[in-house]
Amino acid sequence: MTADTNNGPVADKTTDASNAENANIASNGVSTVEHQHLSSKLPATLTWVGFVAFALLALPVAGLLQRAPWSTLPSILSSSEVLQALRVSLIVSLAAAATCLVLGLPLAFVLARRRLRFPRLIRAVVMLPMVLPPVVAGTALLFALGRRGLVGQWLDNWFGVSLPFTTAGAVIAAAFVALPFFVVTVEAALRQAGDELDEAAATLGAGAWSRIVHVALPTIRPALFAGIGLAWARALGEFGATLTFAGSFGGRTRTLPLETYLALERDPEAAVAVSLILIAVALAVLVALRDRWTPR
Amino acid sequence: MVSVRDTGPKLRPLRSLAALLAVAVVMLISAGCGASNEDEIVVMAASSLTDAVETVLADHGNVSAVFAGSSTLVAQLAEGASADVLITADQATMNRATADGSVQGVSSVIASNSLVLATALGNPGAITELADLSRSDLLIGLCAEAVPCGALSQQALADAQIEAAPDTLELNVRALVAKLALGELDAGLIYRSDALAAGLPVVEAPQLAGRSNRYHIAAVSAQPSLRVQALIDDFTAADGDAAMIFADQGFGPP
Repeated sequence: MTADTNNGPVADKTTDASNAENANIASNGVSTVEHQHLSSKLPATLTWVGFVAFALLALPVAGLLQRAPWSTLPSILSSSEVLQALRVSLIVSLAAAATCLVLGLPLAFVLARRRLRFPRLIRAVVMLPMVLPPVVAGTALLFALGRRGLVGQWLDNWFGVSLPFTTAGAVIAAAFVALPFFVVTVEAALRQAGDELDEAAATLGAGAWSRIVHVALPTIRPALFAGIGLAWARALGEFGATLTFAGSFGGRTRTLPLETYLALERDPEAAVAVSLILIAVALAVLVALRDRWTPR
Repeated sequence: MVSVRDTGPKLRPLRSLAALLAVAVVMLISAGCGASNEDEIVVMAASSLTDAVETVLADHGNVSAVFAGSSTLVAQLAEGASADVLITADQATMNRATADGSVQGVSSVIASNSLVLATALGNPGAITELADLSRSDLLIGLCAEAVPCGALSQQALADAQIEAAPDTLELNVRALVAKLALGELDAGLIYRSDALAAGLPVVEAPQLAGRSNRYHIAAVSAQPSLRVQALIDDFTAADGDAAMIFADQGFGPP
């Protein structure tokens, strides 16, 4: 933004026809100028602590970049193991994100719109995978869906289906740890949107499905994409649960994070190189998501 | 009066936040002080030695141990972690630490651990010989070739001309042991000490005779203190307490 927008009085800016975005937003009752005015009044300490937090997040990435073996990067990254792991990672993380969407959206609606018996307990269970150490999550999945597991033994006996050590198992492990991120994001948006619009649509005769598709979903669209982005990113970086539940086999269950760990045993430089693709892929998708589908 | 009563509850969350922050700062500072305990000997050891080394160190005062995969330990030392003694699971990782200068002492072997064919409890896959590892109807696990137990396994299988059909190549031996113990895998190649600790059945396989890794110990400094040297001598003494503890836990002689 230019210095001129900062200095100009509020009244001038809202009537400035050349600034289409401002006029547009002002007509909705929120002015970007006012917004900027407020942000420039942030306490200095708050701003500084904010920058410290950003440094905490960004510095390790800078550390990786500084150690990256730039000259041998192309040969490391085009090795067949890395390409294979990249392929497995993309398949697993995208399938996990799709699973989160299909299963998580109904759950978010239930949590936000239905009167539940033990809402706090149910919400805590939904968020549990966020706090469980991933290795514990993987072991828990084995106890539930493994060959000797609670449900897994029946899957094995009746249908001959065994999930551990398969790509499907890796997808389940990734979806398990990623699902809460999607559900929490979407549920919060649904609550924030309230149900006035929904009630209005109901009085106008819209059916239950129609209200979800034409009223609720368009209202929470930014949160929907943010939720998918978060869940996908979490699935892409998933390590412990995948290793414990799905094992590690090239082309089937060995994802980029597992490949990185293996590379660390052989040659730490290669591990840095592999984690660079992980970061590049994640940054590319998250930045693209932000620009296109969520409000800036 | 009214206004005071009004602000009271609003301030409370802020106060408790401040108190939490204060506690965190105090903890950070005391942790910093703890790290600079001059007299403490720090031993870094391969994670497969966790139980054995902890038992040996129980008789020594003011010694603390750090356990991780050998490669991780070597990387931590190279990045400046402070330790007095390093114990790795094989010669190769010890050589890496010596080559980059992070370990200056001369290394010696303290124990060995032989590779065994282990099965899930009750041997549900009816494994009788090493060649069963190529049966595709079973769930087979091996260590990945990049880790010491995987390199050892690959070599043994290649020499025995057995083409294994693994369903997973685990990133460390403990993960493989856990899956066998849970019954999610039918068979795998692990170390004898791990099979013993987890109570897993072992199928004797002549092709695995003599396949073992050797644990190496070295002082980090070229001139270790008397206490550090005494500790290393305890580990290397052929008929000392350490040797007995290692033998009890399934490790072989050096």
